[in-house]
Amino acid sequence: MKTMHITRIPVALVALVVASLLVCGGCNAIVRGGPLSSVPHDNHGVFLTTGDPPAKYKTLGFVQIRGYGVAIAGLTEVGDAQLNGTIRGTLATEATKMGGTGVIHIEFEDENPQNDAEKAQDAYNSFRRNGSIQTKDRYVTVTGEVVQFTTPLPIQQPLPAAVPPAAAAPPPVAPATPGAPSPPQGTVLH
Amino acid sequence: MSVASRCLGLSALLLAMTTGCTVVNTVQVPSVPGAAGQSVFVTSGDITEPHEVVGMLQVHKGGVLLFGNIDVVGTDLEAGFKDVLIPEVKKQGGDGVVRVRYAMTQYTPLARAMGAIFFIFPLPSGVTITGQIVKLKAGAAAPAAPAAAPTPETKSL
Repeated sequence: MKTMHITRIPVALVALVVASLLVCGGCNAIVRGGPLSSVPHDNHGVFLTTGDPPAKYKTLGFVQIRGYGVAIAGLTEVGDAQLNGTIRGTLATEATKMGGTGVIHIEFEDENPQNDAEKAQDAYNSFRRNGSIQTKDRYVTVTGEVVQFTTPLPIQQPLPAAVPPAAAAPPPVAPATPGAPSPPQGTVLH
Repeated sequence: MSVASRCLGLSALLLAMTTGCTVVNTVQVPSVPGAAGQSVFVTSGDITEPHEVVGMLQVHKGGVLLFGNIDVVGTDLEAGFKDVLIPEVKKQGGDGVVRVRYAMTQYTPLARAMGAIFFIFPLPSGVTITGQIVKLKAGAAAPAAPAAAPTPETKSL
């Protein structure tokens, strides 16, 4: 019987393969943001979109915002370098100050997002023995055109209120056939 | 590093970071895109009115911030749009600019403070704006009467 000599497998090769898998899986830095305004609009707050407006508008001006924050130990972030806070918070507030009812053609860039491998490395370096807390500066830049709509936006109609069961329409009743006994009231026919 | 010193450092960092480090720059150039009879309209979008493309345009204004704060030549959005872009559009004979894109240098308050301390090294600053100059053809609509600025209570979109 042949035995496999595991020790003959070069350790360096295994380490390289594992490292390659880790690196390939962790190279993607993904930054997610919440939804902007839908069409039709839900009529809450400033209309925010990365595209064209759904109504005629008047240009009021332009805004550029740069949010700064710090990633701590690859685990959390403090400051204003999040897409949601910058776009739905600061940008919408500035538009309101300018008298705008919407911001169109919003462009955004997270300048230096961390991928999973970098976050793991920072966390490891922060909490290993004799390590120090790793921090990384983070920047988000957002631009947009502040507008005031001159024609009404398509507004999302509110959903009809739920009808209580007692007030609901009676179920369809099958036409009575002559001679057949009528079903008791409230019975659903299938 | 002890746990106590780590906590202290983290707390100081949190305190420093939560004081707000967002830089906002705005410029107001009120206009109605695609409407004739106004000065120059500027929009990041497009227009549907018949128009002739005059040409592409990129303007840049560069300078330095003395002591981290003093913008000697004007390198913000206000200067870029009003001092450079709009006069250039008028010079080219355009009625407006569409598909405008822009970027300006923005420093955080901390960076400006460092610039003030190390004042012998002025902070480089600049604004760049690109767009397409258009000239409206005959028959373009005049601008509609501007709607009144909405108040927070009567905001109607």
